[in-house]
Amino acid sequence: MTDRGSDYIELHCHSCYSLCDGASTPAELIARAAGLGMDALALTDHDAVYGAPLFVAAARARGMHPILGAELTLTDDSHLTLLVENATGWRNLCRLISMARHHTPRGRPALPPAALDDHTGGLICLTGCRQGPVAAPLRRLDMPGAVRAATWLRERFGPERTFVELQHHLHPGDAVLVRRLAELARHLGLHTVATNNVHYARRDQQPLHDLLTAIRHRTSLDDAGKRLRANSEYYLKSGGRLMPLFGAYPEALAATRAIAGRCIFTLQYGLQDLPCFPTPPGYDADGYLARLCAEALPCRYPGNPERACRQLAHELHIIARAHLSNYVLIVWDLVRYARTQGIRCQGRGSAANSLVAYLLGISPIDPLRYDLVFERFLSAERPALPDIDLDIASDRREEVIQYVFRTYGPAHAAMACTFSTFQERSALRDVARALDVTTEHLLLEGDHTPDRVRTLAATLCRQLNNLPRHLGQHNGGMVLTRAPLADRVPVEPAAMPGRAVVQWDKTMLEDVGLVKIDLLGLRMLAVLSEAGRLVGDQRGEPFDLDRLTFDDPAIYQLLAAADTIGVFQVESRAQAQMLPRLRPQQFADIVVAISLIRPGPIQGDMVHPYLRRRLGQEAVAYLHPRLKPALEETLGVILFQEQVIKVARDLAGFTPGEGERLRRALGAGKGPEAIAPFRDAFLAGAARNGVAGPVAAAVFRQLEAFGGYSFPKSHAAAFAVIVYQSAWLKRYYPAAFLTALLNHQPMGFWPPAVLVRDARRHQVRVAPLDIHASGMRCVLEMDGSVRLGLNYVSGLSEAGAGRIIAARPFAGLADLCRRTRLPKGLVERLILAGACDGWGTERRRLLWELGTFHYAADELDLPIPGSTVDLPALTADEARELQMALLGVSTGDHVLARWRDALTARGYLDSLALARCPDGQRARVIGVVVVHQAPPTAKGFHFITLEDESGMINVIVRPYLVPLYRERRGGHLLKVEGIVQHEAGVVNLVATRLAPLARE
Amino acid sequence: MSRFWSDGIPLEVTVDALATPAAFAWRGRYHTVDRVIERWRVDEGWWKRRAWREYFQLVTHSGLLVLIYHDVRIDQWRLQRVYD
Ligand SMILES: [Zn+2]
Ligand SMILES: [Zn+2]
Repeated sequence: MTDRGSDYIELHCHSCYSLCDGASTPAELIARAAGLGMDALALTDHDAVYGAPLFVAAARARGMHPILGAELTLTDDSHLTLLVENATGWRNLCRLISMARHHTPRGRPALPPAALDDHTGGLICLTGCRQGPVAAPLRRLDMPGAVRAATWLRERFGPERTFVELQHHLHPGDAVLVRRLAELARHLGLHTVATNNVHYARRDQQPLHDLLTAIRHRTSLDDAGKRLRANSEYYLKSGGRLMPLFGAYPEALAATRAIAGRCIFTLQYGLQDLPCFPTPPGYDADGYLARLCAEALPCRYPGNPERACRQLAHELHIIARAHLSNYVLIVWDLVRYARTQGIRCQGRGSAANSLVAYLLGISPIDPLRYDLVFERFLSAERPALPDIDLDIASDRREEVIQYVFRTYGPAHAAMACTFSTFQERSALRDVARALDVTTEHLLLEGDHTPDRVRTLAATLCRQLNNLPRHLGQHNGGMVLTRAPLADRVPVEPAAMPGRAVVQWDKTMLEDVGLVKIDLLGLRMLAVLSEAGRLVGDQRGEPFDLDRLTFDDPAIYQLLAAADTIGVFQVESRAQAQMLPRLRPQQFADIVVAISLIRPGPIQGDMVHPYLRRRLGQEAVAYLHPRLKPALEETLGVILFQEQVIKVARDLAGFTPGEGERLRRALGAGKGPEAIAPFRDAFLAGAARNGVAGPVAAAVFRQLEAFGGYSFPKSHAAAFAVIVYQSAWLKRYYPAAFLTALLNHQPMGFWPPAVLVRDARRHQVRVAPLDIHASGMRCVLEMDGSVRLGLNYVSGLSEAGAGRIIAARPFAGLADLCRRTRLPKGLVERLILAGACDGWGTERRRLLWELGTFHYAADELDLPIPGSTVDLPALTADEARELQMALLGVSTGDHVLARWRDALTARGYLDSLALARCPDGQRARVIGVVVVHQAPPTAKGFHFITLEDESGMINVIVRPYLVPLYRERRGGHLLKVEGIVQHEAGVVNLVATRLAPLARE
Repeated sequence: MSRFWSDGIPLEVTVDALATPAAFAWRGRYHTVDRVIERWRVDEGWWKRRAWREYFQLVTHSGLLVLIYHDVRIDQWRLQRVYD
């Protein structure tokens, strides 16, 4: 029996990118459609094409034909299904969606029907669901209204592009509606088409879809009522399943195939989409780029420019041939703008491989000196999109973004969007509300009685996981186009006023080949800016960090001693463990250091072999001789991202493009089924090269373990510059460095309290907060000490701090309260933080005095205090603890300093004494917990870092001890007994007993 | 005047090859189905008690207009309404 429905193609299909009105991902829908034997499928999300890139990619991977479209909401709330026939249609769809998104009379997108007058070319119109402009009047038995609407659409789209849409979901009345629609179509000479208005791939996803509907309406399932669909018929159905419902209208089923055949649009962009950089008269982009580079060359390579000249000519040639000069000029222009404004910025990513980028100041790295290979930026045989991303001082990134908008205009520039997704854990609250139970009930720990609701909730949370929920904050990816953006991709208003985002996020833009430039905020660059300024002030002449050459032995000593708290990228505990073994001696070693402590090399077990080989404790070996060229520079281990591509090429004959796809698949952590095709291709390719099967399999396992969690070498090199510069500041200007670090928190690995104590151990004086001396932010005082700023009083706004600064000095507490009008709670915090100690009045007395003041609504009425009482003064520990709690920073002595004599008498060592213990000795210590880590790569081991008055103590907790130690918050005192372990210059205490110290 | 049973009353139903009711016995009489006027499907309430029902509004050869449904979960037929 032939299946007469086998020609059916679903043309009305919602994915999860209908944002809470669709339960399946584009990939799930494509997979299901393929399973049903469809060779094409349409995606018609509500007023959006968010899912299009994923949909297209999934379809191509299965050799299916993706049809793009959308279901548009008109101002009268009716729905219209539009499908893209060709490029004109895509442009019109993008414009229509952009218009609908900018026109939101009721907070939701709504397209004024008049917009259809001249934007229908290349679009096929299906008349929509029950809520469509034709079906809705028919359901009210308003025949004339239905005829009017259908005629109106026919006039706009033409009879060949207007189809009366028939849907049958086995609701009462559906059969009648289908009949009436078909009659109307015949009457008007229009074709009909059957669709199923799909909202989920499989029937069993109905619960998930109902849940999303309830979440969207902020209601429980019980209260959702009619907003939930009455049955589960909205899944992706084969033609065979639809046959019984549309038996009388075989032409409506057949029309789907005909329409699918007409939609020939493919989504693909090219580099020619960038705006034209305005070059000076007489120069085209290639010529101007060459001139700029030639001008910069003598400066960068004085004396002996021959090699640089040759390389420059080569690069310019390849860049010109790939039509990328314009692109490079655009990026150069951004960098130039930032520099003239004094905004620190530098290129990241593969740009650092390019001499052109170095000469233009885009990259801080001399590629000739540090053996960076231009072909990793752009190769002659693979003119793929190179990525030039800019790291910008985080506090001033906005200015650069504004410059882009000013220069190219809002019609040609927009930000990439981001999607906030449901996360399994946070989704619990939504699920609880939908099921009308409390989250506590769902969380009830230790209760193992089977509970239907709890099981159901857990399943639903898992299903919600990773589904997009709404658009998030943009993160700095910018899209620039020569043609108006809205012709290329829908644009919608962003959360920030006056800002627009395109409907795709960064990865999606990359997938469809639309050029984006990432403008990323990097706090450390802001720190370098500020610290550099402070150094200049101190020296009395402008100071340029970029003048530093990377050859100061003192900096390498600092790194090798792991004295790196506060230093970019190498301050973590894992780095501190590794640096003394690596013993960096030159710039290239810093590049290795930051590449080594990454999830990829750690999971791939590359760290220890690398270190052993470097120290000569183990011979460099390769799993196969073919790996030598790719891995020689890293002693046979995989350290850099691009080595994955090279290994795949050399061992299995992958093209660079295939290698790149492999790397991405490994990095995406998509699980075995996504990796399997790559493994098969890899093993087959390796076999063709005569590599033994087990060897090839072992190499692939290494690649898998390595994943994509690593830096490209060029990126690491660019970051290494920042490592060096921040280390240099720490070494020579620790006070300026600390000031800047404190002003740009939160950042890095260590909390401010640790930064402060570390600086104090480096002889930096830190002055407490003082309402009479502190500025808005932390400052470097004339005497070289760091003064904490009012930004360290939590809850104090900039305006509040401004009022303090404007009104000081204050005669006393009453004066402070009256003239700043700060809320009582904040004044209390100031007192406790010691900011009011300047009056010489004891803190407790000040608090008591504050308590006697009457705060009226906005008016401050201050009676004269009636009587004075004697209050006990805060002890030093109390004061310190309060300061710590309020500011996150304490300027007083370390809590343990006062007890050291007593502790020593009881046999407790401090961190200095511990470091002198021989390997294998038993020792006991006490310290404040500053970091507790349980990295997933550590096989159940936990790492605790304790701090005492003289430094840090590394504690290793074996898995069997972990359950004994339940207190995971930082800040409390911990007593540890254990065995001292020396390993290549690092001292660890392997715990045998540990106990938190109760505080009296 | 029509009669309505909110929980329906159990019914013996014979179905044809397409799972459409062909005949049923009610109050000791055997009714054969003349034609199905309308059929619809309900599937809701999965989070508490899933109601998954196939409804048929039909006319018997004896001229009776009734609404019956098949409870798919427990495979049981019920008579919900008899129209006058
Ligand atoms: Zn609709
Ligand atoms: Zn729809």
